[in-house]
Amino acid sequence: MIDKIARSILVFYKTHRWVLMLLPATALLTAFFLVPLLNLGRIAFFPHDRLTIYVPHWTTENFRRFFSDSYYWIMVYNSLKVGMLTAFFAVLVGYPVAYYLSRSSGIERTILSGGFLSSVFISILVTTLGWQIILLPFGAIQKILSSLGLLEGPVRLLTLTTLVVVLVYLHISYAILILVASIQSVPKDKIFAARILGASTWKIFTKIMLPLTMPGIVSSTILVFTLSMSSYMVPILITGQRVKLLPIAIYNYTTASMNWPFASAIAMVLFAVTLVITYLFIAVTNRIGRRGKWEMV
Amino acid sequence: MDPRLKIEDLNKSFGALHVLKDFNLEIGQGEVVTLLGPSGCGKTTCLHLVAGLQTADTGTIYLRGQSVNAIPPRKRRVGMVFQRWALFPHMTVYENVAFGLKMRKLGKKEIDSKVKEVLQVVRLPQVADKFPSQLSGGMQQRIGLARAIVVKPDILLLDEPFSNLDELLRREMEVEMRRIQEHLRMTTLFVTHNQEEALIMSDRVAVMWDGRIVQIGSPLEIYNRPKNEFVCTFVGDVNCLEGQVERISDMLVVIRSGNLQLAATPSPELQVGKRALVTLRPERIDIVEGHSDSSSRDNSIHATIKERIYKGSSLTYYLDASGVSLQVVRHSRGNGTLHNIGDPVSIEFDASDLVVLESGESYD
Repeated sequence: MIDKIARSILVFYKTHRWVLMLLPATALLTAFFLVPLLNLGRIAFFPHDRLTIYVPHWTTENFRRFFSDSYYWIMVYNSLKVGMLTAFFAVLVGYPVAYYLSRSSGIERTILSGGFLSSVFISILVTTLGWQIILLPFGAIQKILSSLGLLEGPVRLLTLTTLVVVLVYLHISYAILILVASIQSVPKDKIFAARILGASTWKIFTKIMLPLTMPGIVSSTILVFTLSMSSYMVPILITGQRVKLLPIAIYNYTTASMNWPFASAIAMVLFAVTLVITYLFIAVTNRIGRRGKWEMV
Repeated sequence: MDPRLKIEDLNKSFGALHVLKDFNLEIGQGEVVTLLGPSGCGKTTCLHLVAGLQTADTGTIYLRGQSVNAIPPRKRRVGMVFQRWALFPHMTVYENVAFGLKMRKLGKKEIDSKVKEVLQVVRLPQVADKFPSQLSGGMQQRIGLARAIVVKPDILLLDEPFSNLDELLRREMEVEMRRIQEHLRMTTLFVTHNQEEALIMSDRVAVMWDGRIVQIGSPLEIYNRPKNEFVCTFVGDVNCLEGQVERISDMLVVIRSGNLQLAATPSPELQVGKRALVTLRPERIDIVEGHSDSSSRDNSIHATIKERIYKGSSLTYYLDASGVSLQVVRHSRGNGTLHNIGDPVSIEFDASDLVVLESGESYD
């Protein structure tokens, strides 16, 4: 019997050895991501208690509270707005940069990549604080504007619009990295073919480049969207509590009021919204852009 | 009448690399001309310049007698088939072929009839709604050709279109291309490094080396009367023997190469004492059993079989003739004619089979 089991284990090992490569990552993700996430989902269905933080008996109270209050709906709306706007502008601004980068070479490429991707190498805290200092009522921009007589008195520049600008600045490097790879994977002879067949630069872009780089556009949009939607350090430093966003609410309920169950419920909503939007986006772009199959990422 | 394409003193450099050097070429209407040469000889650059994908440093390109130097590729009326076919993967075969017509803003009905017609020409009307990834390499190539010719270009440019196909398919496509070519009589500039392909496909072959045309002529001329060693060795297999002119009579020139005496046809350049390069195609040599001394041929030489390679329809022998190694190709005709390794034989060929080139030029 033991002999049999040992042999079948050996057979499994021999035929599925490659599975072992997944083991370290799977273990790490299970222990520090999947289990805590499931736990979070569990706590979201427990009532809050001031002394013990939560009591373990099931309730939908937290979700009912969230969805019955328009205050939280505004949060969802704001978060979605920040995520979508950031993703849109990051890809819009990043695409031409990626296009130019993918066509450049040598020292020019090194310098340009270094410049455009620098925000990845510097801590978010440092760059965001830099933005904050520039934009504050007594900051550089306002001082210059008022000394030129273009601005009267201090103005609040740390708004949702500014938040989107800063997030675009911070996340555009990721978009560019993905887009460069995607644009580079379009063979040059396809562009040549289109040009010889009479396509103008604009037609080449809309009819050839855009469809062929759609997978890159989709993945960079999703990446920037999720990063921006769930970012909390940047909103805290730029807009603070003035703009109501889901991550900030989660942060507040976790630390200030120690209401972990409600914080968990908001986290679950954030999770679900991100997931649904991402799915819808993929589904829609698949239907519009991707016809047939082509072997490009 | 003006030639369809005329290239005049074209020069092109990439940095320090001088790729095309005072390049000249004329192609008549309906003619198929091949640029044949090793990679890096400038043939693809030449094609790109004609298409307008690159700009020449100096020189002029004329299409139908008009300079096209200042005309962008999309208005040049050229068609091009690419090495890797370059079909648009997100479009159906129909949309791929219709692309050029759409860009020329033709009506829907006109586009439809032209696309259907050209798909008939390449014998693939049934795949119109398929995507390129659903087709085999040979089919994709034919669609690439259909897309290029449907706009009725002034000149068709083919950039090594068969190099990505396997051997069998390549043979088939060469014949197919030749058939379509004869059907449409489209002026074509074809680029390849494959000498066999060049001989099959073209009315004239231009052998290129180092940015220039070394020799241009019909496939027969190129193969049988090569101008120099480079053309001779690049096009087909050949035996090359270094030698010196020993004596000259009215009918023959005797050239000594090692221990061999070779009788060749006289020509004014050949004088006693002059160095010469004797070339001999392997299929021109006959093999006779045994060391015979009673031959009526101009050349009869004793040799020994060193190696035999059986290729089905043909046989390649490597022989040793008094210390000179020679390659001989024979058709297989049953088992009776097989010579074995170590067999003493005589090799025979006529004086006219030898092409004597001036020695001294080197093409490395």
